[in-house]
Amino acid sequence: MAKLHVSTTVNGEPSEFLCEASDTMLDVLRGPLGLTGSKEGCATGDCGACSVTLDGRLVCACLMLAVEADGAEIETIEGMSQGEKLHPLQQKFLELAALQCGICTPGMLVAAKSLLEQNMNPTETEVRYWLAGNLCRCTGYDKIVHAVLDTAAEMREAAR
Amino acid sequence: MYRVEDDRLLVGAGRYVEDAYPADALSMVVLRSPVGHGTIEALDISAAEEMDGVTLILTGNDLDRLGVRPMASRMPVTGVDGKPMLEPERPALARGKVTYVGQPVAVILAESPEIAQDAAEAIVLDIADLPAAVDLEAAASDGAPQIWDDIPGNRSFTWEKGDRAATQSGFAEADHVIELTVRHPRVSIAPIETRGCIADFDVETGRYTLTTPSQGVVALRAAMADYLGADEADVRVITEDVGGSFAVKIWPYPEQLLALVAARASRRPVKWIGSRTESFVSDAMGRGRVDRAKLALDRDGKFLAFRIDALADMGAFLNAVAPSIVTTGAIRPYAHVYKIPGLLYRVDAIFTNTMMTDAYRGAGKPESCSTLERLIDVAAHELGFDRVELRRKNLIQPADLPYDTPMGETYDGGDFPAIAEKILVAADWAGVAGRRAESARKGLLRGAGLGFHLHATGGSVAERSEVRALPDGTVLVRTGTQDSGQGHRTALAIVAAETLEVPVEKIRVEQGDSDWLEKGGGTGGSNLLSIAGNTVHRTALKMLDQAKQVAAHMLEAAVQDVEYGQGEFRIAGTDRKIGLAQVAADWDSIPADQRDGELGSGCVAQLDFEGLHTTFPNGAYVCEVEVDPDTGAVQVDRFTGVDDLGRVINEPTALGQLHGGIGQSIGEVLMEGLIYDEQGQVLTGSLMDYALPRADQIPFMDLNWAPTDSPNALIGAKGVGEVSSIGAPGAIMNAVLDALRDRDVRHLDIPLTPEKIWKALHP
Ligand code: FES
Ligand code: FES
Repeated sequence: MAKLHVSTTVNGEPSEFLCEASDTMLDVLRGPLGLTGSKEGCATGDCGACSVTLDGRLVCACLMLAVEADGAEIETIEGMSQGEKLHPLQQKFLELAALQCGICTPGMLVAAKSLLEQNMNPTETEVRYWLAGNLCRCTGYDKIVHAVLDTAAEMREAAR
Repeated sequence: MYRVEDDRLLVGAGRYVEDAYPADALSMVVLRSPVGHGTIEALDISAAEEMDGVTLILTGNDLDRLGVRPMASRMPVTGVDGKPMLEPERPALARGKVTYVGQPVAVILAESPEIAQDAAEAIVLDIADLPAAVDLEAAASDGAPQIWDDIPGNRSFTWEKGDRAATQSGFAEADHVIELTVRHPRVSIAPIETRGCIADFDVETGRYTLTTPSQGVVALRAAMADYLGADEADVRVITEDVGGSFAVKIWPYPEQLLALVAARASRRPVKWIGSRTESFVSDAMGRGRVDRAKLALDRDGKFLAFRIDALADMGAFLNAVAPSIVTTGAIRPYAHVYKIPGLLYRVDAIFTNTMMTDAYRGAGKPESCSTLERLIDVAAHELGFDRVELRRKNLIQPADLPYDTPMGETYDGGDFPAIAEKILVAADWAGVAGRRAESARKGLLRGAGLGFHLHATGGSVAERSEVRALPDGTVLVRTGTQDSGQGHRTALAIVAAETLEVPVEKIRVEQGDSDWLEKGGGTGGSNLLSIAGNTVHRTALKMLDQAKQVAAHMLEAAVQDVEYGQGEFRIAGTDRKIGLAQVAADWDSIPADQRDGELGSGCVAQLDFEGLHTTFPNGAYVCEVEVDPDTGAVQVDRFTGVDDLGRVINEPTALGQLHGGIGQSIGEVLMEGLIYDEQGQVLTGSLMDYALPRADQIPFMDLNWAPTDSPNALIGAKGVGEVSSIGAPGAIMNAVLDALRDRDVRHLDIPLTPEKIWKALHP
């Protein structure tokens, strides 16, 4: 079967690729597009390691067909820092050592960023529920939740 | 300080095995047994072999031809009868029969994973079912189906340790004997990165290369060479970033071995990445023990004797070091912080038609520790003792140190009464009653649980470290240990920087290539600081000694006149000096014939571990939960800890280790548990069926330090990796059962799921 042609925007850059109808966005990101920051922990939508945003909405790239990217904007972990300058969430994760093995971290950061874009002032419970789709086996989530709350506070302060 | 590991990981630039896409690699897919026990009647690969894009299929019939040896376990145990353990031969691919769901039957190599998967489905595999022995207690009982013809009773060995006479007299003299069976069901270790590997074979040199997550490349190289029938020199193992392990990635697995063999046969690289479901059925699992436990007490509540008669679920074969986990692993800190004269542990190691178990964070100690802590709570409740006072009156006192345990350990430090004081304050134990009443007003049952813990750190002592000063001013440290998220590079950089008196940024720590070091036991038993920390420190000093010879030569001074500090050698009392980097640069320029004696070693040193490797980190945890009696749901509300880790090298990483182990313990006690049905089917084969704790199920933790010295520890630091996974389960179990204490519930086996609790509350 002929491959399908998809025109999309990835991390702000126009991007085109060919894919099979059955390819997931995660397959294409990690394979042809060489963006291996998004991870596959389950391929069934249960771990969140593959989290990306599609037109600003948080999705599991493993559950999204690559063709759905056509005409849409995809953001991945690779687009989170501005060159050398880390996003405030990345900076806070660094300061608090809110990661260990790092395999969940890209998905966790993408998910947390998406939360803060919608809610600048989340409660602890809101952070925990929002991140409940992202499994971390290493950290017990303690510093991750602290990092998100602290970042939100600092971003609010900076926005005043 | 910031973890040196994190810059890359935060921007998605980590390099895990799944991230490498070697050009020209074949994809490997594993066809696995769909049944728990059966005879292979037919295995026809002809249609699959014909498919476009399929390059090679291997089955159990190919193993001899390819020289693949059985995967024997690597730590034999001698039974209490003096006889060696019984071990069935474990072929990398099933031969004749299958003995667990998930057992590899064939591997398919193809141009893409999809083609390989289609081919796997085109293989005709016909298995005649045999009766299966799945449940541990059933498999150990009379009349259970036999898995191996020559292993009667499905029993590999019976092993015992302790002081039998003291234990017997303790029970004979006791005023009270409390008995309890505590089940520790098997759990999936489930790091978020599944297992995987890339295998390659160089035809020119005849060398294999295996790139795979591990906890130490050197031990894995030895195992692979052994199973391949190859020289160790002909096998190279590389480990890059590891996406979590907790023991599961230490072991040699059949997939790695088969990928190497397939790469050799195909003359192409081979990539295999396990799926999540494969992880659930084919990763070595944790726990799997049933403890029939007994505690003897006198009238005043003094503990006289404690024994566990355990059944250990080995799975269908013996995995790498599994026999040692259910034996010595279980007993090293057996009665942990308590002074109990009569101690005995006896275990029957039982085969079942399931995937093998092996170590999981804590390796036998979480089971023993939580069994005893649970038993103490039951004793307190039934005999009318206050559970805190009962514990306190049995603690080993500082004056008892160094304390020889009946299990053969000598505790070198610790102040357990101080821990008791501190935890009660930190956890606001006095406030429990008030919070209980508050929960009751919301219609919730609050429980508080307390548990002490102590770990005897261990792991392999085969560490070799290398320290090399480089002309660019950096220092390269290599170690045989392997990080899988703990932050080894940060911790060892701090240790080396301190020893060398240079800024920590100047240190680069490398691990993960078996070509770098000939020796290295890898990571396990919370051994980084006590073993690698020790060795890196000593090696750095040795390197300085050697470099001093070079510096003296350069400064044209006598060695004894040269002193070192802050990265510089100086002739004492003068301003004539030379930096370590300069020494490293100049050494290269010294003609070889002038490099005699110590000078000849220049600025690179290697040393093997020496000294005592066991440290005894310890502490206590308090957990508070709320149980909803209408749903049986448990919410962990508070978690407080006091730990004695000796000197804490880097607080954020140490805390992270404790957090992670507590999170995993909450999972183990409240929700995890790998379920097989009676035929041996895995009912929890996806993350939809197997619950891992999520961000809304673990509270913030309040963890505190209470350090004491550890004379055994050269750099003052005790181990940390497994401490909380040993200590937390007991406190969590006790908290939930405390919530149910007025409801006539003596004990429930973990996982304490809402269903189980609801049923207990609504008998
Ligand atoms: S890989 Fe997409 S949710 Fe797990
Ligand atoms: S840091 Fe390892 S899974 Fe989250």
